[in-house]
Amino acid sequence: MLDHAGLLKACAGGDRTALKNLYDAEAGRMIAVAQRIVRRRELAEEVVQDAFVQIWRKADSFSAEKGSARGWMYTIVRNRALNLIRDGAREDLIDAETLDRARDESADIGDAFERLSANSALRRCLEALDVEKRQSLLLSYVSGYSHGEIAALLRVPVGTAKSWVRRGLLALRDCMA
Amino acid sequence: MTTERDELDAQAGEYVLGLMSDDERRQFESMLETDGEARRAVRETQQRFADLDAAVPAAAVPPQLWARIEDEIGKAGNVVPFPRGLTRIRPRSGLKFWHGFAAAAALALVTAGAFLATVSPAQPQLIVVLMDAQAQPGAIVEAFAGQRVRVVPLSRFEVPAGKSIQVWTLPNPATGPVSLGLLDGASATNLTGPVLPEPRLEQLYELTLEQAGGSPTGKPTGPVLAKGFARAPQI
Repeated sequence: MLDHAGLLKACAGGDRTALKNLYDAEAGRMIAVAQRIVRRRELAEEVVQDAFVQIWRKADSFSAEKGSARGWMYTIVRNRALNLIRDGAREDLIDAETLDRARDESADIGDAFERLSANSALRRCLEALDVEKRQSLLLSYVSGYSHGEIAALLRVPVGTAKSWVRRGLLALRDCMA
Repeated sequence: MTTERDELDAQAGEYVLGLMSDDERRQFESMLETDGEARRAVRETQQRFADLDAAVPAAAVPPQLWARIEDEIGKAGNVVPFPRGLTRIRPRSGLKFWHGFAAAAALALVTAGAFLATVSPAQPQLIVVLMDAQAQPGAIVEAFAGQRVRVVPLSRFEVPAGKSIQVWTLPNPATGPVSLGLLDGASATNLTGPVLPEPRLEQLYELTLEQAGGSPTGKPTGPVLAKGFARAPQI
């Protein structure tokens, strides 16, 4: 198992080999995570490029208080990806009228869910949620959708989508405690 | 019933998921700076969802992606001790590079003037003419705000196989020379160095010949090809 925290510390000290080790271990998965949000492959690669530059520059600001080193790195990737789509770069933004599109989405989040290992607490607790709360959380975390987009995809008012996300988050917390 | 803890955890969740509006996010981020409980809530939410990232099958990584990252962070952007050998000119017989320098010398200042007048839309804060061992101009460095520099060779750099030309500056003698990156062959190259103080008058810039890909130690190891001190353009 790679020592992510130790490698980040080495990055903070200016060790480029440490960054390369992190890159070799994570870049492929990071591209996949970013692509689920930004959709286009070349945008996902751009996200990961920016993310590694940020990881390099901010490595000295990482501390254990921020959680796991790996989680910190993926948060940077997700935030870069979300920034990009907030800036309007996601070209095929969801069209609520297109059922095919909605089917793609549920295939995407279904896939993300199915890939969770059988002994993952997250999997067990997502399974225990009502289906609409589970879908809302996955659409948001995996695909980066907003409240409004989730509402359109699940064909409910925005307020309902917001409440599903919120109650889903708290139920997940209680289940995983 | 919603408790205060529930409210904070739900907000942290919306923050992690990226569901907040710009205003909400700014507000929450300023709270994060002072509120350890809020940081705890964010950390725990991130950890709860982390399996979704870990379980994704890796995509193919394009081979040039790492090079693009390296370009951005500077090839060896480390702060390193100031080497004693910095000003020593070492033997460099067999380097055709120097013939180019000599031949271009007469044109160099003219070229420099024309370049400065026409090519650069943003005004550089400082300009450095780097002189070679024969006291001829070998390259120009323009230093812009924000660690960006543009290096313009004034002669054809012939780099021997397995070697690279590396650009260095010395922001202050206490921290030592810092790499700004590698010259891209004989053409003008834009480089962005590591975060440094703004360039100042009389700051040293130099080119050294290093092994391909840059100095393995993060400090200059090869012969100094040209060096000069920053001056303010009188524009």
